[in-house]
Amino acid sequence: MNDRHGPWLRLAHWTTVSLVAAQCTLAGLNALLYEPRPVLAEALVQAHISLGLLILVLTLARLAIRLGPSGQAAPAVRTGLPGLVGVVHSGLYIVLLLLPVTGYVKLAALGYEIRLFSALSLPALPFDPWLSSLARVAHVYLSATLGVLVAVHVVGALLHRHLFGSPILSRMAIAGRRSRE
Amino acid sequence: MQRVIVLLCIGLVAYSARADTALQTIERYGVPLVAYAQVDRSDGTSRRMLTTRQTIDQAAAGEALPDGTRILMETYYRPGDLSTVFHMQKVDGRWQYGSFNGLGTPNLETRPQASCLSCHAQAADTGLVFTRPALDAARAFGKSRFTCDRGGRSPCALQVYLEGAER
Repeated sequence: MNDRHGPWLRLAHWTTVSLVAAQCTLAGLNALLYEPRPVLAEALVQAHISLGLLILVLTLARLAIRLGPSGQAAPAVRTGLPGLVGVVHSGLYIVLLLLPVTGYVKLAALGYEIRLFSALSLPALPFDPWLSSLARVAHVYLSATLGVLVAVHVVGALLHRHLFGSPILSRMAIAGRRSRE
Repeated sequence: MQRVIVLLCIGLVAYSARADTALQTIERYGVPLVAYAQVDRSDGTSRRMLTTRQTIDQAAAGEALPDGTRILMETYYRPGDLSTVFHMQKVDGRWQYGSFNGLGTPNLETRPQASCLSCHAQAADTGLVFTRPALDAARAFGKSRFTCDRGGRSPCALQVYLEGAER
């Protein structure tokens, strides 16, 4: 029996991991560089915005695959904490959807016209600094929440593998031998 | 009674003169500017805020800052060691931003910039201008000094600018 997720789901998962890592790097570099290298920092922020949209699209695609009728999700594995697993997975999806949205609102509500990959323009929202400020705070806290959820997700996967003996890591493996139940 | 009025007038004139002399107009980057605030950080870096005297007067009158308003922020890594100069200008009711090397050729062009707006979004209560309280108080009290407890390049909390002025 194949215990792995479908190839598109695995590809989307690892692409999301790469994009989130890139987003953290871009945000960190911007904080370091905006004062000595403001032009470079602005370019980093523009990349951050565009990659944010990719994450939003990718997360919606993953949800469509998982919830769709194509049967891309792997069979359930034995877990000691089924409730927590569900909360962490749902939380990850919710945060990955809300982070790009709050980032967009933060800038668009200040009348900023967001351009994705220097091509596609998103509309600005009616000027509302308080909405922007609210979105900024939400973006910051969602980023921290994502960090916590990712940590729990990784630790959980390792615990399942080594504590419960579940072949959970192979479910998301990009390549390699397929394990059998 | 007349003596009291005269004394009050003299006091008022003296006070006004004191506040005014505290805000010297200086020629910076080809523009007559007034330094109205300084932010000292815990790591020894500092920032000096400048604007035009017209903006000081408009802020003192409680007016919304009109199109054309320009505010500059000089960054210093050590006293006297000028680095990047950031500036913002109001265009069509929105703030635009620019920057240049303080030791190079001044470039006062501005455009909407996401990196600047992202940070200024937290100053929603003060029209996206962190030092608006210092600007409002500049004509009456002169230059404001703030101490920011955050080192490095993290933006100071808006509360520092709202409540932490030394004048």
